Amino acid sequence: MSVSNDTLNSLVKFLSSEARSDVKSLACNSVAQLTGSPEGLQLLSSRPDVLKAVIQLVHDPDTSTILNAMKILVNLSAEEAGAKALLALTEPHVVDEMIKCIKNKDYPHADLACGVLANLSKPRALCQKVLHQMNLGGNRLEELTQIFCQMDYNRKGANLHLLASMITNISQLEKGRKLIMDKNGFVLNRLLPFVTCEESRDRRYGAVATLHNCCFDKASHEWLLGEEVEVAGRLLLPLAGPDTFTLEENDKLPLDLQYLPNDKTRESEPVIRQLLLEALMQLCVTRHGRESLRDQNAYLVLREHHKWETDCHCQMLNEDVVNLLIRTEDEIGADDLSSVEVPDDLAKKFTAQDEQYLAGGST
Amino acid sequence: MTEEWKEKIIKEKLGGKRDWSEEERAALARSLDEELEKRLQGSGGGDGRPKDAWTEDNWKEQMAEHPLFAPYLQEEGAVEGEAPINPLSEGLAQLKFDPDHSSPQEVAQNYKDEGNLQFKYKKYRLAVANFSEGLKQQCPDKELNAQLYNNRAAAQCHLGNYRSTIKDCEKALELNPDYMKVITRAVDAAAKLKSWDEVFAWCDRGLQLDPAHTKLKASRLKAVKEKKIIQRDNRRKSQEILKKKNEEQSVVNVIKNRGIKLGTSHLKGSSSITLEDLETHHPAAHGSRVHLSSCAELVWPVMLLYPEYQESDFIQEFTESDYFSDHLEVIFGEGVPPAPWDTEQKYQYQNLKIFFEDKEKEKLCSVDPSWTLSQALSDPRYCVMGGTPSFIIVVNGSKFMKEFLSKYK
Repeated sequence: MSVSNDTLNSLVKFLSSEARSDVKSLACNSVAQLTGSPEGLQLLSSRPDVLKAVIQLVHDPDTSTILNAMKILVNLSAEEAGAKALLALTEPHVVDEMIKCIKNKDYPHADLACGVLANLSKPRALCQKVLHQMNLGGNRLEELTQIFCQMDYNRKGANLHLLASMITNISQLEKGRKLIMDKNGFVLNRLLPFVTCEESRDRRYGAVATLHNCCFDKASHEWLLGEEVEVAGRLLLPLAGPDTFTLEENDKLPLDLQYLPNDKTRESEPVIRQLLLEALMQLCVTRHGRESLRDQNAYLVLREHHKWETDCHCQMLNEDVVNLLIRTEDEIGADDLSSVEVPDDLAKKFTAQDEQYLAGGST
Repeated sequence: MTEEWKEKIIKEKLGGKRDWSEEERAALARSLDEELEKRLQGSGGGDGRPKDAWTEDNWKEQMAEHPLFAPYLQEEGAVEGEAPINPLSEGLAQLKFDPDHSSPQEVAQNYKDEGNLQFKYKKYRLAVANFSEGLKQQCPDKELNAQLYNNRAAAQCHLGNYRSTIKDCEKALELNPDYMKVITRAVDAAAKLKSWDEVFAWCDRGLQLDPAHTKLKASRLKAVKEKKIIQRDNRRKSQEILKKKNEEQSVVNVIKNRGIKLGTSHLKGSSSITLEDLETHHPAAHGSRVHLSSCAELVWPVMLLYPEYQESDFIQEFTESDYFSDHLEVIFGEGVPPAPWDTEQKYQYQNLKIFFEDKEKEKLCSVDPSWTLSQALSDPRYCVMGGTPSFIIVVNGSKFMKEFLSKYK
């Protein structure tokens, strides 16, 4: 379907809130169909007047119009150009409007609104804009996290799982991590239980990925490993299976990992296990992190996990972490591993070795 | 007032006459004086003073009872309602609390003040009652009602009624959503109840108002930790239960594999045997039960019966691979002092005869001392009753043995 600028010129009139509802619904539907093709998306991205009208339609009384408007926004925001065009508008601002929809307990398509925010925040540069706009209205990240944590918040059946993706995207940014790990904010604390959320893969992935990103912040390691977050236990729990430990061994594990039942299962998704192991690896970068993981007997859990693990990549990551944990600090010889300069030739060799390992050879 | 009174006197005493002579006036004055005197005398104790007037003798007691001077509160431990209520206090109370005299708002405020005073003197029950009365006024002042709920919550907390405390906190917060004091109180009460989920939820409500509140942050952390400990303990408990169950099952399986017949005093048809059935009923053996040793051998509690003297011995741990002779030697071996009942010192390890009872055929079966327990127990004629194998021991060749054996023929 090819639609020219002229057609859009006439459509935009019918998209305004004053238009007759049946006409508006039809017009909205036509625009929604446009988002099905790359040309359509491109055309729409160049029409701020149409985008503005569509954003306003997310508050339309007619739910089918809302659905179409939301679909347009989801499809547009999925492409960087479209996302950019949406974020360029200030009145109304797409982020503000989406947050309004999510906060409204009776909003019918709140999940799509979460999707729009997740899409918009995906490219790093745009994520900054999203976060900036969010902060203009107070600490709304925290507010959204609270909403996210209330499993039955939306009364129209929306599950809001995709807010997890948005939070993960925000955790790419240093500024975002600061907000997420704000000691008075409890954003991260609230996400922690979802690390083992069986109901939703999105929530689990989002929580783990956010935690993973936060572990890259060396300055926060002490806080993360402390009693407020107890990140070690959180990262190890999904990797732990049924209890096989002696009483003494159990007592030395983090509380959450002690005396696990016989039906305890491990994280089923290799991608999420990878993130967990990478996060542990990041904690091992600092001496404090390694010592803390040793104190909490992370080795025991990883040893059992390694016996069970079938994914090559996860096995390799597991071995990397264990290699650091079973060495003494004297053997390691550097407090901060990220400060160790690896000569290019060695780096190449290591990468090649890893590749060989993953290809099924031995190291 | 005076004018009215004058008119009345004129009407009553003089029949409405207005122009008076001197004598008439004097006579009236006199009669009025007399009347007054009479009235005073009639009502007073004779000395012209009111009946309830203070005297030199009773002023101390009177003063103590007077609401203005009375020590405001009764001594600790005094029973409420026991002392007669001073009519003056009652009057004052009426002024303070009677809805006819004050608006609901004033009455509620007065009850609040009264309650606070009781609270100060640690009279928490009275304080609760006063705050409740204050709330009953349903005064329109939201803030005042919120305070009444908060104060009642505090008094309830002191009385240990933590559930009521939390309920009142909830109501106070409904009326005043920024009432931080109420939130911390609810947190404390929920912590007393060890209801960590509630502590957690209240902390979150408080932290929404003040994200940097140190006490709430600490309470929240504590709640998280306590909850983890409870969950851990539950996991440990269920693991222990499971382990015990498995162990018991394996004991039962081993017994079955050894071909040992089990009987209970209350056989329930063909229903499978549980370890409970194997709990010994012998008072001396209480608590001991057949179990597996570390080398997977059955260890039984065993009874040795001496029918001649109607005595018995109880061996707590008789491993299935133990020989009878080993245990007999410990009890009746050389150099071992004889049992107190064995006055003739006949029971010597070498000359003892061991039997067990074949319950089905009601016969005695002989056991060689060189047998192991397992040999005896797997004898098809043997049946372990009540979880405790028992053996009969008599002196070989004795008169008693002959008598005893003859009973089984």
